[in-house]
Amino acid sequence: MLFIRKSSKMIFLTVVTIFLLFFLHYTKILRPVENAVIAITRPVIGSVYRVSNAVGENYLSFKSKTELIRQNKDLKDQLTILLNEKSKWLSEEEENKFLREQLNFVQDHEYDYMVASVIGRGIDYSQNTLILDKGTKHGLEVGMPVLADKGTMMGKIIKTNKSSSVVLLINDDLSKVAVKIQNQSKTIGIIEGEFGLGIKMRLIPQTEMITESDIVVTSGLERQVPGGLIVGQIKSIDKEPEELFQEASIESLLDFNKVTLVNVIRYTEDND
Amino acid sequence: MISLIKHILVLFVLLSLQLAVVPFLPGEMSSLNVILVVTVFVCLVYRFSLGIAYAIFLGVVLDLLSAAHFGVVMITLLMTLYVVYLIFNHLLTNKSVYTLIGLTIIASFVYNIIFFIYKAMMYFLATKDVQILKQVMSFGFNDMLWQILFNSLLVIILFIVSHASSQRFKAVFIDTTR
Repeated sequence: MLFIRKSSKMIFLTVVTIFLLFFLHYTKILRPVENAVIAITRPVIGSVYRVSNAVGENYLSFKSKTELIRQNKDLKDQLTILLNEKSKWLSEEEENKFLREQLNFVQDHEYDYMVASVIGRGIDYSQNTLILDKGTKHGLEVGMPVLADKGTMMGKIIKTNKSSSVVLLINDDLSKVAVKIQNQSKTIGIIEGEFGLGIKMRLIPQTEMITESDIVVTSGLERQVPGGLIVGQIKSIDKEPEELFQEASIESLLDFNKVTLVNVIRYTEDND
Repeated sequence: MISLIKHILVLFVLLSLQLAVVPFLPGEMSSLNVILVVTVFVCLVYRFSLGIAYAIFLGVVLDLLSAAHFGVVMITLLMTLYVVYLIFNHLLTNKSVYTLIGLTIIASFVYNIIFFIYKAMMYFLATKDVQILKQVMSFGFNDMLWQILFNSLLVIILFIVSHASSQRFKAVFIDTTR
């Protein structure tokens, strides 16, 4: 009896606290406190994240022999593809220009960009997200593309706070990015994530000729995402004659787990 | 005052572990939910109200740093704790390491189910695709099994550490480990 009375009181108090927190959050009264909490936790979590990343990379990368052999083979295959690609690109001026653009993307296009550090990964298993240490006060907005090494796109911002923001990675199911393939006909389509495990390019017309190892870049059809950002490389093609569209599996050049520094492009079509 | 500082430090350590250390653990160990395990542990071993306070604070911070809607993590944590506490008080008779492991498994299950419902709703609203829910369910189920396994291992470690270091703990638990 006593327990029921005690637990009812506790439940009542908890419900009241939840309602109060909701009310204060959505009326933005709690905003200064929230900003202060994030400002205090951000450097601590950020520092731990950097240390864990370094430790994880050096000491916790346990891999089985089979996995290492498979990885070695994949890397050799990839090297062959890349060498072929390199010679092909180097022989043609237009494609050479494309490579240059990709390697020095941000500088070449003079996009307004912001360097941000990754301070953590999201806990809400519904999405593959990263937490950045920059937010609205640094000019970040929802929808802005986030790049890792050499202009490779890794996701888009889906939530911003005053001094932090959340990035939805391109391998998440809810992620959609308009892209095109760097082939003769510049085939356009949409890439979507597959449960954090891979990336699929959909809506490719059956008539389009695409090949494995073609490079996929953003198409520039989205307001905040400029065209030409590398997304990945076609790994395999799924073409069924009875289907209206074909699909391609895209392999990102990034290891999303090891990214610690990113560029956020502050771009709208008017900037271009 | 010292006690408050101690609790704040614990909360910071928990947040850092969950957001910055666990993601780098090898393989499926990265599915570990430190915050859930510790809040359940605190609720059962120390004070229920302290566990609730931990859940509210950690839930709010995680909600601010997460892409989910505000309140989702906090409510999920609190609902899980209440379910666990009700089972603990009404169905179980003794406190032991087995009780703790059993309740951690139940907590992990309940937490994942609530999160799955939220996740399914969000995916369905965004994609209007029923097929995707089946796929989400199969991936989620696999993750949940790993999480239950690692959460149970963590609670055993917590039990052993607390058992060895705290006199108070020994009095609360009937020692069924010997």
